[in-house]
Amino acid sequence: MATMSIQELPSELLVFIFLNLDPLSAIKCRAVCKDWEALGKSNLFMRALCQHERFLAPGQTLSSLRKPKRRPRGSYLSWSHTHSQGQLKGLRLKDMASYDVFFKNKWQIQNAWPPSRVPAELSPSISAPGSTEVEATLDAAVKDPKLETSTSSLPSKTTDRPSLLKMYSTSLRPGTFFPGTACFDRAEECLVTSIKNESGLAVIDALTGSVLSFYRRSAAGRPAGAQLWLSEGWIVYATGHKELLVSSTLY
Amino acid sequence: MVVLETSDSERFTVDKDVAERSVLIKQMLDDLGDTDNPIPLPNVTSNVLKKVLEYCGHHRNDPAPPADEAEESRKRTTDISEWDQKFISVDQEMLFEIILAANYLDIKPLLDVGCKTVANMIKGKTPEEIRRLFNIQNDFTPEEEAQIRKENEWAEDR
Repeated sequence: MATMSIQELPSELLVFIFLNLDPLSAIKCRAVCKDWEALGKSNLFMRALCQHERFLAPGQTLSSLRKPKRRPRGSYLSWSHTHSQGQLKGLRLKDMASYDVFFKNKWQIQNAWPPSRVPAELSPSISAPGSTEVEATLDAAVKDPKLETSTSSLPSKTTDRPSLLKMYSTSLRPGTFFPGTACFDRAEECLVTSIKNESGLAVIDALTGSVLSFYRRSAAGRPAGAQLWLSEGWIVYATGHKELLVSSTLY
Repeated sequence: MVVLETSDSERFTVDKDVAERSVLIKQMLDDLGDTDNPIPLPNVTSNVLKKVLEYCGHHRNDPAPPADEAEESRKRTTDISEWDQKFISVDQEMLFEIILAANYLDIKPLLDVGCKTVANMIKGKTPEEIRRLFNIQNDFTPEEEAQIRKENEWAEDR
């Protein structure tokens, strides 16, 4: 009988072993040998990993994600809706080219903007806009003179008070909350405010306020400051900041 | 009692509830009804089955694992009971044989224990250490290896 070794195990068992590792250790196993590299990059493994990390629901596939989401009626989105096809989830098709790319994007978002660190008083989960809790938070925020300065510089479209959707933070200290830059994107009806310094690019789902992708700034620099692009259904927000406030006037 | 026959023609007589820790055997018994004929297990050798039955015997009274696949929690590694840890302290060859057998016989908890054990062996090791541990040939060229290191950069601890 041939000597049994780890290389004799069928792929699905090796996948099962890798899923028992933390995701980064599993990905680093690609550097062991060519077989492991192929398996580690395969859709078989990466899809399982996406599901294991709850980036995808059980049984959910990338192709189902590429399908556009329905937008509320009366939204400005009709134009971008028809033109962006599946890109409305905020990830460009390029970002969903494979489970490998998708995982990497999601992982980096999660680590750049961990929602778990959102302070309770800032409405951690996506709240229905207009709910009292959210409004109370916003009232409190508006009383902050520094915030007021900034809100006054917002485009006039935001006369309706925006509802706070989500607060992301990489290092939030109470009392240091102040807006750096704020942009209002008319087409997506979404307000993006970011504060403090951390550079990168955030791609935000205007509908839910979730940060869908986050790209760190490379060591070489750029992008600096804050810019906002609207490209067919997703918002790409370049930020020089550690904290990011997403609010919306949707509905 | 149930009689199991391994690939090397050895017969094991065990209690039904012990044998039925294996979903495969349970289904066979359900299909066959009561039978005195031995159940052939052509993918398992006697020394491995002996070990697997030891596990099944110890866990014969465990509640059935949740059938729901979604129920599978996010728990990873380390949470192996003391008895299981001792049980699975075998050489690599036996360890992988047990994993294969647990997969074939469909004994999910044993498969878990085996895979977690291997994962624990891998954890915290460099690719080179992993190769040495499992005696895996490094079949990358230096260029390919550098390429992978570059690709994996984002996954390195910061």
